[in-house]
Amino acid sequence: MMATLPFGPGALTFIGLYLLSLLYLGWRGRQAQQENTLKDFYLAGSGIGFTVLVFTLYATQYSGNTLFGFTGNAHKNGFGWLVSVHFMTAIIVFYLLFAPWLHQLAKKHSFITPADYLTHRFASTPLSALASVIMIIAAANYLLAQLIAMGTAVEVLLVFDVGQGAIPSDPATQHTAHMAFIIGVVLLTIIMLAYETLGGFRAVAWTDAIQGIILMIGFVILLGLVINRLGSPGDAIAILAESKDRLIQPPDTKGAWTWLSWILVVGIGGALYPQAIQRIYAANSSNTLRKSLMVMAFMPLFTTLFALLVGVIGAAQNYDLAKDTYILPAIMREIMADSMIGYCLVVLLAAAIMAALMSTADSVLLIISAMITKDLYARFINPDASESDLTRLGKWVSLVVVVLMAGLAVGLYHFRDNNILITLMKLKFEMLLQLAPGFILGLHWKNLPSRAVFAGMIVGLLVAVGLYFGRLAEFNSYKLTGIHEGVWGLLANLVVIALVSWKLFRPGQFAK
Amino acid sequence: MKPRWPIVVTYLILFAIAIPWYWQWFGSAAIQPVFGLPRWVLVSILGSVGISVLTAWLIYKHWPEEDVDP
Repeated sequence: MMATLPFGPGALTFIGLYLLSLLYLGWRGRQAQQENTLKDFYLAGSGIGFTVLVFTLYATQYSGNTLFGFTGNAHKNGFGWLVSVHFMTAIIVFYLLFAPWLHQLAKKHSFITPADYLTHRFASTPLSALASVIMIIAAANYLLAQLIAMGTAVEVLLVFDVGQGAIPSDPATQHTAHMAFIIGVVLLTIIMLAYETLGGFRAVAWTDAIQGIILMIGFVILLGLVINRLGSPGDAIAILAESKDRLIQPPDTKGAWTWLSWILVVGIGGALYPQAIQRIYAANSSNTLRKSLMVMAFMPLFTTLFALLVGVIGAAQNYDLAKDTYILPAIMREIMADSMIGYCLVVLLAAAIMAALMSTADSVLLIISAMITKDLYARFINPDASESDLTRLGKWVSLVVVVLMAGLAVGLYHFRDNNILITLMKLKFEMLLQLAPGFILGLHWKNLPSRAVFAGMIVGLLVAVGLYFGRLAEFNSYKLTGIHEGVWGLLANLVVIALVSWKLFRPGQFAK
Repeated sequence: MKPRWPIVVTYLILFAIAIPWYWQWFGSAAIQPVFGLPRWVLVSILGSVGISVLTAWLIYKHWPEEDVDP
């Protein structure tokens, strides 16, 4: 394995120290624990201040997909992927529709999980249970994708061959690649589980702060290195205009509709990620949340836009790559071979990639544990369980979930590129979108009946998931219309809400 | 909460600028480089900057404090 290892002992020591610092923060998080309660474990007692909140929001929102997936998408689609800047900005715009009020209510009524708000607002057990199940499935899907990405990141960082544009296919390298993948999944999962079990949300948020800082530095370094080594975006455009003109062309009418669809799907779905709602609850004050969201409104310009430019500049280099997502490792290999400074900066970038993956995965794991423990176990199985028992159970739930998901990630190694698996793993925003009426309309429409929201959610899910599975049966409505299935589901959801509310409407109900 | 219609309209205008649906009618002018980027890309990024600035201003100036509890 060492024969193909591109990192020397110094680099491995640096990455090792970085990973150890995460464990140290987990231990400090445990020491800072104030009480053995769900609120303390899952929300750090709702005492998260501005600096930590802004970085935990940032590190959770920008995952490994931003580095590998977004640069890969830009390599494939050129400036057509500029939509990523808009949909990441749209997340903050959609926050404005519910986050300020949800935060107040969470403070007042001590919410722990997103479903706590729905229970408070609608007092409907089926509605809250369905919403929890939707969020658990979406989050579990996301967690599995992050764990597979962790293994893949370690694999490509170690054995990717820039000359072949792929992982070499000889048996020895393939074996090394497989081992690197397993080590990546297992090692990073163990570290993540350790600090999370020790310090709960406090440890996750503190490590997110470190990971967020490294990630932010990583993006700046990445763009700087790429421009320095491969030329400016202007140089790339001049090359692309000659060789790959479609990468610099604006979208056609159908393409423009797809942009709008992306903005709605990721803007609303991203704002309703359960781990994002958990952070709205965890802010120590309304002012802290306010200042953090102000900063977050500008982050896409310094993160997603940078990833786009790196991908576009890479596209002009004409690397012969087996996969578009190999563009980042290809560029990193070239830079690290260039100079000692380049090598050191690439090592920092490797840490940033791990930071991006772990900071998202740990947040998702924690909220899955919170939802299973509080929304399902405490509500339906053992309503009399004490807070300390639930907190202890939550840690076991984290362990079981992550072991299952890591096992699945390792087991799916040879099927990672299978179309069915990729399609299934992308199914999350379509489902989360159907929660939007409950959270957003529920806050502003005081007479919105729970039956309407529940019926809308069911119909929206059936439409969105039904159409989505059409992708597997050669009926791809997204390709046909350019609009994501989740948007059609949300439209159906809203129509049903309007019809059921109208049916249930009684004269005089709105008079007050 | 009452919707502030001027703000809603401003958002719609900014998103309409940011989504490059209209550049197909500009021919090759759309991809003429301006500050090292195709013109349509620069305009779209400026639209995004506008959305970020408006959002930050809204959060700063009009962060809601009213109680929504029924």
